Amino acid sequence: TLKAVSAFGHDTFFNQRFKTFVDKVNTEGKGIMKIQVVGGPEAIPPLEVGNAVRTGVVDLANTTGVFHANLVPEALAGSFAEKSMAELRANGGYALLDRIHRDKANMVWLGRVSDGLQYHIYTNKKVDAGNFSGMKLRSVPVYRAFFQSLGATPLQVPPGEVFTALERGVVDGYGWPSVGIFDLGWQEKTKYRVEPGFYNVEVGLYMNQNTWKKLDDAQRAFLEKQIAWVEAENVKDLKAAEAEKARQAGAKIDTIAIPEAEVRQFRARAYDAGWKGIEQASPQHVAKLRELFGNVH
Amino acid sequence: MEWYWALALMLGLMFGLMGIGLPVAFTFLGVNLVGAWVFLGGEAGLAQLVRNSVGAVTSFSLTPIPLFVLMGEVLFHTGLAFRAIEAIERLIARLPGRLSVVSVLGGTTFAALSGSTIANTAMMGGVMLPEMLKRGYHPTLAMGPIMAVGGIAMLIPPSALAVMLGSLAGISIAQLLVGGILPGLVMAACFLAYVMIRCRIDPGLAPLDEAPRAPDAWTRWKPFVRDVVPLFSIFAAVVGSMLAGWASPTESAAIGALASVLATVCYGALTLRSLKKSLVETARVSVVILFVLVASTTFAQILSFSGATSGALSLINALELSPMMLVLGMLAILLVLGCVIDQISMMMITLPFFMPLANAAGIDPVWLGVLMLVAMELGLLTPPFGLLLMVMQSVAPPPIQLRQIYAAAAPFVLIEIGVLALIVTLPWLAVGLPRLMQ
Amino acid sequence: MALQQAAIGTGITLRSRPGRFYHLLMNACGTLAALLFGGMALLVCADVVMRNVGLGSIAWSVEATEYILMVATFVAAPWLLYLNDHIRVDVVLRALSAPMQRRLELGTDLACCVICAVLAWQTVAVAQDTAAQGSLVFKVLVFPEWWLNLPMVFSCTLLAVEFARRFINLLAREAN
Ligand code: NA
Ligand code: NA
Repeated sequence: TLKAVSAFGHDTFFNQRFKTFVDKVNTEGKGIMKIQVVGGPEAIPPLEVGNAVRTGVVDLANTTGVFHANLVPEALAGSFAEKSMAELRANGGYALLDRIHRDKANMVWLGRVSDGLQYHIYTNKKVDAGNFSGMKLRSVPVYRAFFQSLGATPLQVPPGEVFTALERGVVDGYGWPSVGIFDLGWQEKTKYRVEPGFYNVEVGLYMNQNTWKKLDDAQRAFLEKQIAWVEAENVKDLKAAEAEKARQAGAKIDTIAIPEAEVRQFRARAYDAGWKGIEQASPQHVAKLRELFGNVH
Repeated sequence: MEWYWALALMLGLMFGLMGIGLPVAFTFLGVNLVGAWVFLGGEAGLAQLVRNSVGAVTSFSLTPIPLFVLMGEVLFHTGLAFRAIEAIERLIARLPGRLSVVSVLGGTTFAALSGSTIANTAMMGGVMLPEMLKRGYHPTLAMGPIMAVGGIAMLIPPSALAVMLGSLAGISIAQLLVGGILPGLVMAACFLAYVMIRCRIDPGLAPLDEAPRAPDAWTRWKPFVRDVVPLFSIFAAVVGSMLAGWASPTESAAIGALASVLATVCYGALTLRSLKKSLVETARVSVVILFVLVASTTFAQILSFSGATSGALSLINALELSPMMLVLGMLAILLVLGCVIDQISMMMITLPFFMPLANAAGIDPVWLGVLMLVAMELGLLTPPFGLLLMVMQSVAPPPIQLRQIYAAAAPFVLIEIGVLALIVTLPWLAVGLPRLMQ
Repeated sequence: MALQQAAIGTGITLRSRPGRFYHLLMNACGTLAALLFGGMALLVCADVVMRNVGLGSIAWSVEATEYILMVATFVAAPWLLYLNDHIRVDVVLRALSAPMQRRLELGTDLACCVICAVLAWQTVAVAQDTAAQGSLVFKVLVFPEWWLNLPMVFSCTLLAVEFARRFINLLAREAN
C-alpha cells in the first residue's frame, strides 16, 4: 500500500486527475499495488508536502514543484516549460529534472498531471496596451519577479482575502491559472483577462525514492503504464482551458490582448525573470534545463 | 489502524493529559509527539511534526491576533477604558443589577474596539469584577456577564477569528464581519434582559447601590460624549480603511492598533510606561493563543492524517441529511468540539468537510459562517476547555473557585444557544446587513 | 514589576548570580516579543501608507510579519511559563488533597520537561538535516531554511529547563 497526499483540496481542479489516477490504479492494480490517500492540505500543509515525500512520511504526492522549490529550486523548470511532457521525455529534459530531484531531495518525479495550462493576469481595470506600471497585482513567488519586471507592484494577499481586496481596490488584479477562478468566486470582481498567458502550470506526481527502489519490476511496469495513461489525459487540459475561457466570457470577463508587437517582449520578460530566479538559488543546471525545457526568445 | 481507534487514542490521550493538569499547549504537544510517531511514522514523523509546528504560526492571516489585542490593551493601560466605563456607568442609575448592566454595555462597546475576546474579558474582569464582589454581587451576576460579553468581541468587528474563518473557509471577510454585527447586538440585548429580570426577581443577587443621580442631562451625558463617542473613530479606522480599499482586512488590524495609540495621544493619556506595559501585556495575551495554535494546528493535521477526522465526518455524510439537518449537525459538532478544543483548531478540523458539504447543499456561506462564529463563541464558555473561563480564573480573586466560574457561565451558555436557534430560524439576522451593503 | 512579583512566586532567588541571570533572560524574552509586535504594527502600517500614497510597497513586509509572529511566539513561550500564564484545566487538580496535588504537579512538570526536551532534540535534528540538505527559503527574502528552526530550538530548550527547574524546586520543598 502506498500512502499518498495531495497538496490541493479535495474538490479543486488540480486534484481531479489525481483522483481518477488513484481510482484506476486501485481497480486495475488489485494484487499489485494500492494507493491510500490520507488527505489533502488539512493533513500536510502544501509547503511541507515535498519534505514529507523526501523523508518518507508519505510515499506518493500530487503536488507542484512550486511548493518544494526550497528543496529543489530547479523544480520550477516544470512551470517554465515551453515543451510538452512528451517532448521532454524524448529530449532528456524529464530525465535530467528527475535526476536532480533524486539527488537533491530523495524524490522520484513520476510524471506530470497538468500540462499546457497557462497563468494569466486578471484585472478589474482596463490595462492600456499592456502597460502594467503602477498596478497593484496579487502575486505568489513563482511569478512575483515577473510582475515586478512589468513595473507592477506585487502584493501578497491570502487567497481568502483576494475577493475583498479586489472589491475594495486593495489590488487591481491578480495572477491565476486559466482555470479555477470560478471555484473561488473571483469572477464577480474580475473584468478582464490579459492575453497571452505565460508559463505552464505544473502539477505532478512525486514519489519517495526509497519506496520507488522497493517496488519490484512488475509493480514499476504497472505504475509506468498508469503514468503514461494519466499523462496522455493531459491533452484534455487545453480543452478545459478553452471551455473555461468561454465560461469567463459568459461571466462578462473581457479579453485584453497585448499588441502583437509587444507580445514577444512580454513573454521574454516572464521567462527571463523566472529562469533568473532559479539561477540565483542554484546555478549549476540552469543553462542545460533552459535549453531542454524552453524555447529561444 | 481503524479510524475509530486512532480517534480514541488521540482524544483519550488529550483528555487524560489535560485532565491531570498539563497546560493545554503542552498537552497538545505531548499528544502530537505520540501521534506523529504512530501515524506519521517514527522519527521521520517527529521531524515532520517539528516542521509543521514552525509553519503553523508563520502565517500572515494570524497577524490580527496580536494587533487586535494591542488595541484593547492600549485603551486599558492608558486608563481610557476606565474613563469610558465610568462614563457609561454615569448614564445608568437605579437599575436592578446596575453594575452587571454596565458590564454588558461596556463590554459590547469594547467589542467594537477590540478584536480579542481574551483582552475584552481580562479588561472587564479587571475593572468591574472587584467592584461587584465588594458590593456583594452574587458571583453568577458578577462574572457571568463579563465572560459572556467577552465572546461578543468575536462577533462584532473587528474580530480576529472572523477574519480567520473567512480566509480559511473562502467566505467574503467583509460580509462575514458585517454579518456578525446584528447577532452580536441581539446577544447583548438578551444578556441585558436576563440580568435585569434575574435581579428584579431576586434583588438579593445584586444589592442596589445609592449611585447619586446627576441633576441634569448634560452632566450625565457629557462624560459619554467626551470619553466614549470619540473612541468610535478607532472602529471607523478599522472598518473604514478596509471598506475604502486602503488596507486588506488583515492590514486593517494594524491600522486599528495605530489608531488606538493615536487616540490615547490625543487624550494626552499615553506615556512611555503605559505603552511599554501595553506591548508587554499584548505579548502575554497573544502568545498564549499563538503558542496553543502551534500545538493545536499540528494536532488537527495529525488527526486528519490518521484518518480519524474523515472517518468521523464520513459517518455524517452517510446519513444524507437535508440542508437544515446538515446545518444543525454541523453546529452540534462544533458545540461538542468547543468543549475540548480552541476555536482555531475547530475551524482547521471541520472546514475541509463543512464547506464542500455546505456548497453542495446550497447553504448560504455567510449565514453558515455567522452561525459557526456563534457556535464557536459558545466554546469559549463551555468546560473543560473554555478560554474565557480560564481568563476569568486568572483575573478572579482567590476565593472564587473554578466551579463557581462554570456555574456563572451556565445561564449565558443557554442564552447563547437560544440566540443560535434564533439565527437558524431567522437567517436575515446574519445575512440582512451584508446583503444591504452590496 | 509583574516579573518581580512572578519571580517571588516561582522561587527564583534574585540574589544569586545565576538566578539573576535567569530572571533577566526570561525578562528579555518577554521584552523582545513585545518589541517585535510593536514593530510589526508599524511595519504593516508603513506598508499600507506607502502603497496608498503611491510610493510602491515594501516587498518583504508580509514575509517579515510572518517571521516576526513565529519568532515572537517561540521566544515568549518560556517567559509565559515562567509567569505561569499557560492555560491549564485544573478541575481534577483542585479536587485533590494538597499532598496529592503536589505529587501530580511533580508528574506533570516531569512529563512536560520530557515533551519539551524531545521536541528540542528533534528540532536540532531537523535543523541539522535542513542545513545538510542546503534548502533555501525561496521568497523575496532568500536565506538558509534551517534558520527558521532556531527560535523553536531556543524555545523548547528553555521550556525544558524551566520545567526541570520547577520539578527540582518542588522536590526540594517536598523534602523539607
Ligand atoms: Na470585536
Ligand atoms: Na469550551
